[in-house]
Amino acid sequence: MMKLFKYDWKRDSNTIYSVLAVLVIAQLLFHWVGTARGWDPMIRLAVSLMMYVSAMVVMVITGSKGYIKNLKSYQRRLVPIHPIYHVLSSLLFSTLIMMAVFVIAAAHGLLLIPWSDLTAFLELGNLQLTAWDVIIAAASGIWGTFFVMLLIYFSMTVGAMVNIRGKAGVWVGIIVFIILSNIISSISETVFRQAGSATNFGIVQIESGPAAVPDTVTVSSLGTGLGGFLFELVAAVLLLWLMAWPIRKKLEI
Amino acid sequence: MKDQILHLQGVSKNYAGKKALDQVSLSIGKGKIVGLLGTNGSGKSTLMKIAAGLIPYEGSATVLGKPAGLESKAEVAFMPDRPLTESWMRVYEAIRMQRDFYPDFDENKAGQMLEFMNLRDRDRVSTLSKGMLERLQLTLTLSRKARLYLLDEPIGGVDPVARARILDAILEFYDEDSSIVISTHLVREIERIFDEVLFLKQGKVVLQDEVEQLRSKHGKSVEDLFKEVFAE
Repeated sequence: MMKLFKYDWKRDSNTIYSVLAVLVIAQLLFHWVGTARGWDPMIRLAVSLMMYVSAMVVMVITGSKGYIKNLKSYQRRLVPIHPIYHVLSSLLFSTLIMMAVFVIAAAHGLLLIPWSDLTAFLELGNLQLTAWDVIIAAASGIWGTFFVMLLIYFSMTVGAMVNIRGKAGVWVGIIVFIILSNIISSISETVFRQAGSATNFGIVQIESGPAAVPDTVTVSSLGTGLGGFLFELVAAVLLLWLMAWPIRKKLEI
Repeated sequence: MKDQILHLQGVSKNYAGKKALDQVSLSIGKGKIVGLLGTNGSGKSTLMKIAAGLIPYEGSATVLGKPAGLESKAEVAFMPDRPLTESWMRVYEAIRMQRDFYPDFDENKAGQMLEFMNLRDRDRVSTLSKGMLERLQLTLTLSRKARLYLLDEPIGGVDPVARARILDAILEFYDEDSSIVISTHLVREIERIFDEVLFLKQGKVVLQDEVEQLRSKHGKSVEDLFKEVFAE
């Protein structure tokens, strides 16, 4: 799997590095100029978040395009390894490149925001995060990213089964993703009574109380939602097992 | 059946209702160079992809007794009629990828073949001409010590000089304990290297025999027989 990952990385490393470099430069410039010129904090925050979202979208697209290229590539399909490793290496690649954006965002939050006027705007002065909170938030973010990409890849695999060269497969994949993510989210909320499953992208919730009381941070999926997490873990194993079969037995090339 | 490298029994393949292969049964013995001959659309590439374990099929296809698929991929070196390498690679990266995934890949042999083919390590795959790309693909394929080599149209779409070079490379570098199946519709160029030929017409095997037998039986070259069998 790591050998496959090596070549996934080599193929797309230029794109990844350039996106991350542009993101860092843009965030730094925007932060300094915005702070110096006293731009509205709400607008600064919104634009900054939009830049992170845009970078994430690019990473999702890069990872997804890489996955479908692997499914269609003679060189990859001829390799004498179990098809599950093609899926796992693509998942690892996508998760890592998306986590890189999270890390930059976290660094931004830790290194720049405390020394800017955004601290007062976001009322972060009363926030008390423990090391465990940070670990849970990070683990939840990693798991959430992995699970969402797994859903996307599963949907793409189903779409590719329909017609690897045609357009119908794209629409089938989109429909499968919508249905599957809603089913998993509904089960998570109904059975496990957990509002934030990985598919809802809920990671951190901050509840503000009176000024004298520190804000509380709760994290979904892990920690407070063990049942939901275990359900998603079982769902992930099942989806991976289901994906291996069409790659091995059904996909044309 | 275990004496045969490749054995197909009642193999069929449909693409959206169109029969690409229709109840194909054949066997390829050890140490043979077999020509898989047919016109465009006769099912040659489909047959090769099935033998390479790439696509689903009906019937039975085995390589050294193992079902064509995940179990047999390690025994088969397949050169498709489409690019095998990814366009972002350089030649040395394509070599490294083969080395990483195939324990039977002979890097020394690959080096010799690159020299024979006038290919440079640092050339980008995306800058190679069609002929040079075919040479690289052949290098990647024949540098493996596989039991079965499948070459799909190795000389299609390349100039006569490159064709001669590719055919010389096949004879120079192939392992005589293995078998090679070469699909082509350019019969005249390649007839000289075949031990056996197999004619595939509209997804069916219409003829399979040793080349010498065919020539003495029919008093014709393989090319003349090809024209006769596939005449419209």
